[in-house]
Formats: sequence, structure tokens, C-alpha cells
Amino acid sequence: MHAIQYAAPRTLQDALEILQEYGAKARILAGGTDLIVQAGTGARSVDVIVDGKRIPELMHLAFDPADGLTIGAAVPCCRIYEDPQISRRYPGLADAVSIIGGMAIQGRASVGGNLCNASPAADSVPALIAYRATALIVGPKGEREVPVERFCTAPGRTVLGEDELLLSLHLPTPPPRSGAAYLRFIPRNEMDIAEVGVGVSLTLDEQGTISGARIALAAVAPTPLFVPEAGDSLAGSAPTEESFRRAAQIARDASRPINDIRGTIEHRKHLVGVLTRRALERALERARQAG
Amino acid sequence: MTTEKQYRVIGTRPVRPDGVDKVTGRAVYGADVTLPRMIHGKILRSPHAHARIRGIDTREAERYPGVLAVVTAEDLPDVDVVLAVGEGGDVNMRDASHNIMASGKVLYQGHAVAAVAAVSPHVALEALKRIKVDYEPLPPVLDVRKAMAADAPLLHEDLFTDTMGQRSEHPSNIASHLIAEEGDIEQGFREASVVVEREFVTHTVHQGYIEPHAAVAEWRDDGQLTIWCSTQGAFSVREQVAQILKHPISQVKVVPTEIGGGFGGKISVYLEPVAALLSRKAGRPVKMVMDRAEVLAATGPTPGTYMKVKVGADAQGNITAAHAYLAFEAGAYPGSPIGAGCTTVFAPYRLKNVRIDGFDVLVNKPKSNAYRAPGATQAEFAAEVVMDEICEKLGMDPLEFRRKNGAKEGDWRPFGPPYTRIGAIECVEAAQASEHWKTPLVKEAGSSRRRGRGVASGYWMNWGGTSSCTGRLNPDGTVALLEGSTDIGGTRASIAMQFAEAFGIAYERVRPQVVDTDTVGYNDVTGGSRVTFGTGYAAYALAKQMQREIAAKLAAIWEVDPESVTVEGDRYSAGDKSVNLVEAANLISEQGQQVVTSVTTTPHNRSGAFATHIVDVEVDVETGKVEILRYTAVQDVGKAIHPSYVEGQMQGGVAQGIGWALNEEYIYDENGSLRNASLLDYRMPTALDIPMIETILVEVFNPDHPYGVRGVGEVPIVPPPAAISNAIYDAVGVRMTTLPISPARLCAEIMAKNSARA
Amino acid sequence: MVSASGSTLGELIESLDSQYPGLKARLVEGERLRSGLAVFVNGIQIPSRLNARIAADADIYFSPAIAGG
Repeated sequence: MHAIQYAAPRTLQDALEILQEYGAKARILAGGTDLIVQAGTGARSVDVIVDGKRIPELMHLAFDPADGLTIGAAVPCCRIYEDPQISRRYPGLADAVSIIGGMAIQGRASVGGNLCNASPAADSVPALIAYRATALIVGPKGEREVPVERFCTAPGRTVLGEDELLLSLHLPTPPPRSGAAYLRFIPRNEMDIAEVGVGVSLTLDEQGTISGARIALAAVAPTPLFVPEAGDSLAGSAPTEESFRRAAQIARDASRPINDIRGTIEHRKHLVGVLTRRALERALERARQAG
Repeated sequence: MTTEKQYRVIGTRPVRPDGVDKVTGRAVYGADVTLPRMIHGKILRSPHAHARIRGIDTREAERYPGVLAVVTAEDLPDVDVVLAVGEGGDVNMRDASHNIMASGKVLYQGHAVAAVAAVSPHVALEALKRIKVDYEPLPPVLDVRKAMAADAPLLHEDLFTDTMGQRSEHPSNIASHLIAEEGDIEQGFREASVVVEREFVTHTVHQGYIEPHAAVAEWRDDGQLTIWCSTQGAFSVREQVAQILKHPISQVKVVPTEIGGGFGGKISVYLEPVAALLSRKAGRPVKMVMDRAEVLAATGPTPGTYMKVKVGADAQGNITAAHAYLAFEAGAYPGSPIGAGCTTVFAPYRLKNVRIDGFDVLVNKPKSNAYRAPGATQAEFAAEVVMDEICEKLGMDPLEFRRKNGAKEGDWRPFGPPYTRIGAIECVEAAQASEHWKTPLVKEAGSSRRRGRGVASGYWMNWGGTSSCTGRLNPDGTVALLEGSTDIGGTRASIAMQFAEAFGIAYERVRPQVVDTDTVGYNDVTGGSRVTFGTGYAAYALAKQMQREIAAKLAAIWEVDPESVTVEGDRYSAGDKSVNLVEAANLISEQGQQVVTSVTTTPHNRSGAFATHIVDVEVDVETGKVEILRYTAVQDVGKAIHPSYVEGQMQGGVAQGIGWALNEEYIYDENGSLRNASLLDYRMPTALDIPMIETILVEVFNPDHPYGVRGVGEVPIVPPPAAISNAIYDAVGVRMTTLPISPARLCAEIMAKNSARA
Repeated sequence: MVSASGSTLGELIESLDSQYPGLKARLVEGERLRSGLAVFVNGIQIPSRLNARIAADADIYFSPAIAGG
């Protein structure tokens, strides 16, 4: 019978030592809403589960207007949306973390875990990309930083070495007159994995022209997909239906979905266009409200 | 209609006897049963949809530490019996035996090939990995039309088509071809001024009961076999197990546990005979519990279909002819609900010229099973969408059309005697009078949202069946009421209420219990919408019989003629002597006597239940997503014994119908592997997907029941898919003829319509 | 709708078979009514036995048996 060990280190150092000893057979538990299921069904072979919830650095959540937002890798979703300041400053992230599972899941599941699970359909990742988030990785050789859009390399695979772990995510403070949004499409109103997800952010200049925008997609490529050219197409444009449709078309063209049980290629590409436009409209509203 | 009677108990809404146990977690369901020395069984299932089994090597599994027994089809006797289970449906027990343990060939992915019993479920699972099965994969056939082709791969080389009793020359995947005909459809279509013909496709869907199948079997050295299981029919389990194992029925006792849903899917046995064999081999009780993937992949869903319906009507809106071609996927063995599909397809209408062709077709999918009004939802989806289009072409109100053409007493119906007193037209009239129908719908709802309203009718026949009850009068005048009908929808309450009404006592003074097959007389399964009707009928007869016995015993005590004892409510009188039931019970027990009475009844139920539903939807025209805004279900319930549970049945049926309409489907890959065997991706509606469902109860007395009861459980699942498709047409102008109407399918149709216009 | 005579179901089927040769083979298998067939007499389902007695002037339907959920 296959037995699984459970470790609950209290320090980062202890956790890193376990990773060094067991390598790929050890996995960090940052909520467990994916990991436990995968270990149970045999989808992921695990010998040691390393609980990250007792490591202070992994549970750290802080916002500072000068430094931005730091989210420890095991911080549960609910702490993000329940913090009034964070959810006001990062509404696009709040959109995403408040639709990951139900309330019970949100009490356990973390943004860091969502990223490390590296599902192409992860809801929080497009929002992180839209916010220019970076991932702080720690290993025996020290720390390194990777932009979130380069973190996932394939379904279920990331840039993390076997002896490394994700320490935290860092999101810069959004500039003035900026807004963001995350929208996903699911066939039901609850209990579904995204057929398509779109995270966007945009910033207006003092005249109301778009000075910059970022657009990232879920569930339409092997990894969460950053489409810089879609956001760039908006820079210098007025926020009009026409400019949004153009950006949406670019995002749609960049998407490369597959047919699977959750959607068809045609419907997914079509939805990228619809949701990109709708997400931009919502982000624009928020940018204008942010003033 | 008979005059409205005044009832004391019927029509009230008391608390259900099983309610507290269920909400506090004390109720014992299938997987809760635990016996001393019990071990655990698991099943090895085929990864192939179609393959020959060249050999099974179980030696390594047998040697695995902790394993106590391994069985394969070799351990099952050869059986060749046809057994009637449920509502006259026949089951070939050889097929049933091969379905629970593949013999020679596997016919669907998930088909059981071996089972292991071990000291823990984990050890059993590890041992399964050590069983070597040598498969010769064969080409699977997964689509009903492809399976009907002359050159299709055959599932059974010895199966021939039965066309109304005539056998085909060559083997075929078509098990049977039913034909029902009346009048002259050619002439009828010539008389029509509008004719609509459309093709329909529906996919396999599952009942989605929340409790997975579970069974515990204990085979003792003396051959006495006891089975605890979650089932719709303990007596049917007893018969099926006895037949499959060729074990004397007198040595099989079945104890039904509480049941977390069945909807037709918990009539056939899957685990019970296997657990029994494992127990016999191991000499210990064996528990088997399916996981969700096993439930979805390897129990009995309801079939996918290909259907073609053609209807003609004259300019005044009278139907002149109707033709239905219905091809149902039976799955791996014959026995789709095609007969019911044929019977129900045009049931709400009075037809003079009609032809119905039905085909029962084998495909490499699990053997289909009953699902709430089996076959009716598919067939009436097709017919009701075509009727809607006829109304559109005639410019006629769809409810007025249904009223005008509505079936009534004496009208023809396929295969059966003419209708008796039914409430088809009364339902349509109640729908017309409803607040929902009278409230106009605003169609525009923002730039990308359109709203629409649709209606559809539906029918499901009622079954009487055999039921037994035993009543025991306690010294305090209360009654222990023993039943054999598994309580799925609140029937302990509805049966106790009928007993209390007939016996002249308060509902709270009746204690209903569902007991095992050794403790009460025979009961047919809880199915066919029959328990409140049929077991309620038995409870009524029991109450009357107990009153006669009490009167006779009092007459002996009082030394008067039994005929002179009169019964009024709970009061028994003769001349100047008069006692209430508590006093009577005391008098009788003082004499050292008891009133313990059993009855068995098999009432005829020639009737059926009709429903008409109204739905408002909102379509996001850019994504294809459909929101149900408002839903009203109108149904002829005969007499609502416990109105809350009748409403609950109607709402539950609609909820399942909405799931079937919008998202539920089995998704197979080209190899016949089920890709969405989980409740994450087999998308049943959640609480957020369904609005409050309004109900309107129409009560047209059923003359076959003392209180006029009709079966209510099944028909409410029938109208939703058609009503929703018709509402979507009203909203966005596309006719959806494939189920489910998933966002991807609807979006593609909307885009096709838009590009055709552009 | 056709007329036939007989005091039992079996006799009735014989009578039908003489009017419509081959019909018996479709209704009867060996000594029994085919499995999956239901018989209604004056609107009421009766046990499917060939020796079942049939009253005079009865309306009789042969119907495929149908199962419910």
C-alpha cells in the first residue's frame, strides 16, 4: 500500500531541508484543495506532504502604498477579499479569489497554491499577470524573482526546482486612474472550472486616454497566457468600444485552446473576445471610479 | 369528478417521521452499515469499451497480504431466466448476470471484470492492480445511428431484431422495433396545412442520486444470505440475487437502508450478488461501496437518442397526423425505455392518424436503466418542440393549441386501452389561468440579453403494483405500521396519513417503518410513481381490515352480533356500548388478544399524470448561457395527500429536467471512454442555477384510488427540456433540437443565425 | 381493432391466428405469452397467462410492457 507522510515544519529552513531530502516526491501543501485530490486519485505521485500553513513567511499578507502587496504563498483566498484595503486596491484580484470554489474552499485555498498547481484554467493567475505580479522563489542557493507570466511552463509544471518553494507573490501598487477586472465563463453559476478566464488591467492618463493595459487569459493555452500585444494595442487609444473590440480580437487570435470536456475551440475563442471586451469595460469603470 | 370530501389528515402538512434522523445524521444509509468481522470489496473495471477477454489471472491478487477472496464471472452460475421487475418491465437475468461481471466480452468502459475482498478498501484496491486481464480490443460503437447500420460492429453475435414478435434474419444491434399505428398518416398529412418535421439528438444522462450504491452481504455457513443495501425495492433485490446466484429465495433476506435518491437507478442490482459471492468465499461479511466515478461509468444512466418527429395540422390548429421515429440507446444489453417513449411521445394529444416507430439499439455504453419517467423526457422533448413550431407557423397560442387538441377520457393511446379520466386539459387550463402566463415578459434585458417564454406538456403513466402492509394495534391505541416500500420521497408520511385518515386516528398516532423482506409481505419496487397510490391503497385496505377485526373482537367481548358494531372515526359502538380506540385496545389486550393484521393489494391504476410547464429564460446572446428566470409547473396530482411533498416532487423533477435541458451529458472520447465521470464535470444544476419553482396542483380525482391519488413523482421531469428549448426560441429565434442546450451549442446556433443574416 | 372469440386468452389468440396467420407466433413463445407483453382486458392489466379467462364482449389490448423509475 502507498503511504504518504505529512510534515508540518515551523520554519522556512526546515521546509527547505525536507524538499532537499525528498526532491520531486515532496509537495508543499498551501491549502490542499488540489494537492489532496490529486494525491487521492493518483493524478500526482506524492510521498511527503509539507504543510506550508505553519510557516510564518508563507502566511504573511501585507499592503503598503509604497511597496505594494505581498501575499505569502499559503495565504488563503478569504484573507485577501476580506481585507477592505486590499480588495479596494486590487479589485481584479478580489474578483478572482472570491470565485475560486465556495466559502469553505476559500478558507483553505491560496493564490500561491493556485499558481504552483499550474493549471491553465487557474482563476487567480490572469489577475496576477494583469497586476504585474512577480513570484519570489526561495531555495538552497537563495532567492530569485520570476514574473508570474513566466512561472508556469506546462500543465502542472512550473519553473520551481525540486528543492525550491514559492515564498510569496508581490504586486506593485496600481498607479492612479487604473482599474482591473477578472471575468470567467462557466456553464453553471457555481462549481465549475473556467471554460475561459480573462484578467485585464488598464491605466488612464489625465486626459482619459489609455496609457497602458495588460491582458491575460485562462484555459486557452497549456499555461495561463499573457497577451502583451493585446494590452499594448490600447496604449495611446481612447477607451472606446472600437479600441476594446480591437484588443479583444488580438486576444482572441492569440488564444490557442483545445477541445475538451469543458469547452470547444470555437466557443472558447469566441468567449475570449466577449470576456476581454467585458473585462475591459469593467476595468474602465473602476479606473474612472478610482479617479 | 366526485364531490369534494372533507378530510381530517389528507391535505395537511405534518412533519415526516424520518425527518429528524435525516437532518441530524442518525439515519442509516447503505454505506453506514457495519458488521463485526466485516471486510471490504472492490471491483476491477474494464478500461476498454469493447473487448474480448482472453484470460484473467488473479493469482497474484489472491496472494496479496490482506486479501480474503477474489471472484470473476467464473464464480457465477449460468442463468437463463427472464424476470419481471418493476412495472411489467422484464429483465433477462443472464444479461443482468453478465452486466455485473463480464463474461467473455466487456461491452463498455467500466464493465466489471473481477472483484476482490480484503481487510480494508485500500488493500482491495492495491490487489486489483495485481489482477492481469488479457484483452483483445474490438471496435466500439457509440452512436445509436451508427449502431443501427448493417455493417456496425456487433455487441452480441446472437442478438436478432424483434419486430412486434417477428425475428430478423441476421444478427443486429437493434434489439427490437416497436410499431404503433392508428388511422392513416398519409391521408392525415395530406389534410394538413402546416407540416413540421425535425430531427433530435439527446445524450446519455445520469439520475445523479447523491448516495452512491452500497451493499453489505453476509453469507452464513448454513446458506442463509442477508443483504443490507440502498435500493428502491428490497423484494426485487431478493429476487434478482436469488436468480443470479441460483440460491433459494427463502434463504435470501434483504434489509433496505435509508436511500439517498434512486430515480429508477437503484432497481437493478450491481454490487449485491458480488458482495454475496465474496462473502461466501471469504466467510465474512463484505461491504461494497461505489465511488462517484463508478456510479457514473458503470451503473444505469438513461439513454441517448436519435429521434425524428413529424406533425401536421390544419389551418384551424387541429392536429391531422403525427409520426415519430425514436431510436434509443439501450447500452450494452437490450432494454432501453423505448416502449415508454412510444407510449408517451404524443400522449397529451388527441390523435386520429398516427404512427410511432421505436427502436431499442445496443451501443458500447453502460446498460441503460430507468430514470424518472423513463423514455418520456426524451420523446416528449422532440414532440413538444415540434408542436411549438406548429403553433408558431399557425400563429396560434401554444396553450390554446394544447387545450384544443388535448387528450381526454376515451381517446386512443399507443399500445394501451383508451384513456380513463385524465387531467391533461385541466392542466393546460390551469396554466392559462396562472399568474405567470398572464404576466407579460419584457424581452429586452440589456444589450446582450434576450428573454423568452416557453411552454410544454408531458405525460407519465401510473402503475398500481403489489403492496403489503402490516398493522399492529398497540395497547395505547397507537399503530405500528410496517411497510416494504422504500421511502424516497416522503412516502412514510403519505402512507401513514392515508392510514390515519381511514383508521380514524391522528397522524401522530401511526408509527410507519420500512422493514426487511422477512418482516412484511411482498412489495413491488418504489418506482412508476406508485407508492403513495399503491402502498397507500394497501394502508387504506389495512385500516378497514383492522377496523373489522377490532369490531369482531369487541362483538365477542360484548357478546353482540359483529355486524351490529359500528365504527365512527375512532369510536366503536354497539347498542348502549361505546368505546374509543384506546379503550378498545385495552379491552382486547385484557383478553390476551392482539390485533396484528396484514394485507396485500394489487390495485389497478389505469390512469396517468399530466403536466404543463411554463418557463421564462434569459439568454446571453454573446456566450450562449441560459438563465432560468421563472418556472411554473402545473400538474394533475389526483389528490395531494401531503401537499408539501407533492410540491417537492414537482420541484425536484423540474430541477433534474433543467439540468438535462442545459448541461448534463455523458462525454465520451472516440474509444468509448467516459471523460466526465465526476460531479465537477457532469454538470448537474446547483442551487444557484435554479430559481424557486412555482407549483400549481390540479386535482382531478383518480377513480382507481379511494382518495383519488395519482402518482406524482415522475411526470415533472418530462416538460422542462422542451419548455426551455421553446423559451430559447422565443428569446433568440433558434430552434434547439439537441440536448443538452449547452452554452457552446447555443452560442454556435446564434452565431450561425447571425452570420446567415449578415 | 379486430374481433375474435375464445373464453381464455389462449383460445382468443388461436382465433386471431386463424384470421391473421402468423400472429400467434408473435404473441406466444412455447407455452407462454412472450416476455415483455402486457395484456389489458377492459382497461385492466391481467396476468399474462394463456389460461386466463376472458369475459364475453371484452376489449383486449396487447401492449409492450413498460417499466417506470
